[in-house]
Amino acid sequence: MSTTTNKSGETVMGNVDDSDFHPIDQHPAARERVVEVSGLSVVYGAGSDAVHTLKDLTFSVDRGELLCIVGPSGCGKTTLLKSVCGLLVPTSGSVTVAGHAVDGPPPEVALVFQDYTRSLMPWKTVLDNVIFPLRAKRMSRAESRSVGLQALDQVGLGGFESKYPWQLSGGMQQRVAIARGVAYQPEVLLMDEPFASVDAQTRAELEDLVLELRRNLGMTVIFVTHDIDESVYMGDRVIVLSSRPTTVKENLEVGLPVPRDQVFTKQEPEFVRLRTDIASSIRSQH
Amino acid sequence: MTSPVVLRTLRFGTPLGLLAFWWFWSNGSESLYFPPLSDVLDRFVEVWTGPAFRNDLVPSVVRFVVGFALALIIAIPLGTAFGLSSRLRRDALPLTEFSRSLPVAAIVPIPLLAFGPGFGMDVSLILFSAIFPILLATTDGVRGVDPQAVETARVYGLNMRQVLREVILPAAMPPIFAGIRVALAIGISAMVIAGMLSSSQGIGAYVILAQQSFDVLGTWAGLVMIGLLGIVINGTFLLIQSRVLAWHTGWRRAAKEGS
Ligand SMILES: Nc1ncnc2c1ncn2[C@@H]1O[C@H](COP(=O)(O)OP(=O)(O)OP(=O)(O)O)[C@@H](O)[C@H]1O
Ligand SMILES: [Mg+2]
Repeated sequence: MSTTTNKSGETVMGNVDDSDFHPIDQHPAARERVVEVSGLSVVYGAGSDAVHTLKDLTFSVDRGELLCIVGPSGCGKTTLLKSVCGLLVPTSGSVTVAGHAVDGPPPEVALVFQDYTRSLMPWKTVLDNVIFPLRAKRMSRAESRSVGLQALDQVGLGGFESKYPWQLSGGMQQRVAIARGVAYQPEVLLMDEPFASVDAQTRAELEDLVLELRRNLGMTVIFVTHDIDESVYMGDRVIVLSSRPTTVKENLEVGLPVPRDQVFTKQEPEFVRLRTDIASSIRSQH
Repeated sequence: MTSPVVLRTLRFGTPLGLLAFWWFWSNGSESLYFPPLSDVLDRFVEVWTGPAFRNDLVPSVVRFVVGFALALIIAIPLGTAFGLSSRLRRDALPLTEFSRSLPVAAIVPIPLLAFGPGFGMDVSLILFSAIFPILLATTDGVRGVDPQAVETARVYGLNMRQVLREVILPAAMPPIFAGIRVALAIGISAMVIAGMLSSSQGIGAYVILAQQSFDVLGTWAGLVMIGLLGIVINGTFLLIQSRVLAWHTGWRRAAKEGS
């Protein structure tokens, strides 16, 4: 089970050496590619109305890495995530997750959508929203309940399990969606502009929550955003996509120290340099 | 917004006021066709504690329950299939459109020929009249389910059967209940009409027989029972709905406040 004891994890989190969080980085030879996208192309429709979105996209994600993907609106970021989580059959090319070619939703992948009002079920309580995937996998009521309560605790929603999502604020609803992802214990967590519809303060809190969860649980995260600052702040690496037909335009390592800090990280010269590079890269294609 | 107190007073006050009006207006009435309400109520008690209870009321209720249950059992799965498959929907459209535009009274001869007056005919009339509102509401409800809710469930490993049970049917429940409510009203009138037209047992048959033998009080006693039956059936429905759709009421209120 990949959920670690979050209590002890929280207390040591601040002063643990960086190398504890990225043991893989110390041994480049041991890097394991958990997601591989190769030659991925997606065309919607056919004939004269065909929309060419992704065009021959190739990249990979290492285990434990947090990869941010930025790109102009409508370039196909959601399309890319849907191909990775098996909701969409690509026109050509392939996606591999944990060594298996994707043809249908892989059990190792969870997804957090932008619009929590549409992905949380209003007829289910907060806890049931988190654990219905576990129940579908025939986990017992008692066990799924304890996993679900732990996940809710980890996102700071302990005590809210019997509320309904619509009784919570937007930020709290997105926390429920994140808790569902965490409780599923995926190897890879996909997030599609998860904080685009919450206010700035909540957004900063949720960014730090995701960074903390990912450190404690060792998940691989693919994080789609159209906010350049967010991509640099969150990512170990940022991939910049071009406009349609979409290819990988830039692939930038983020050399910022961890843990990141909402105030100080954003003053680092490296941060300023990266956001400038990405911004001009995105602007240059219009 | 009118205050809740005023609304509640109106809601309960209006029918009570009308009853009171009826009571006083008809009090001491000499009219042959509009006897005093007190006489009607006396007769009501006399009739429905007598043999008519077993011979007419019970059969009507049983036929209604059987016919309506069959309508639910057929319409909800069929409507779900229609909602999921546009091909099925298109292929079945001419048949459903034709059948649902037939008034209940128009098809009476068919079950009358097939079953003769009695249980089979009444049940099939109630079934026929109740099935279309539920079928259409289920079809629309299932079609209207947010595809992102379905995608969420699929990513989290639910198979098609589980998606149906966990996502599609619960999401379609509010429109389905709206359809059931319409079907109840039509089903009740079918229950009455069935009895009236075929003169078998049943509450409709009782009313017609009373009318044909110029038993004005008996006719009124029958009508009051039909009204009462409607209230009981609707009340039961509302009770079930308030339990099954409790989330929906809260969710709608939250959505209204949010916007
Ligand atoms: N089912 C579909 N059928 C036809 N075209 C589609 C479909 N889904 C998406 N598209 C088109 O494909 C392109 C990429 O869509 P996608 O939603 O993946 O972009 P995105 O980068 O996620 O956009 P956004 O920044 O708005 O979230 C868009 O031009 C969109 O209009
Ligand atoms: Mg998108």
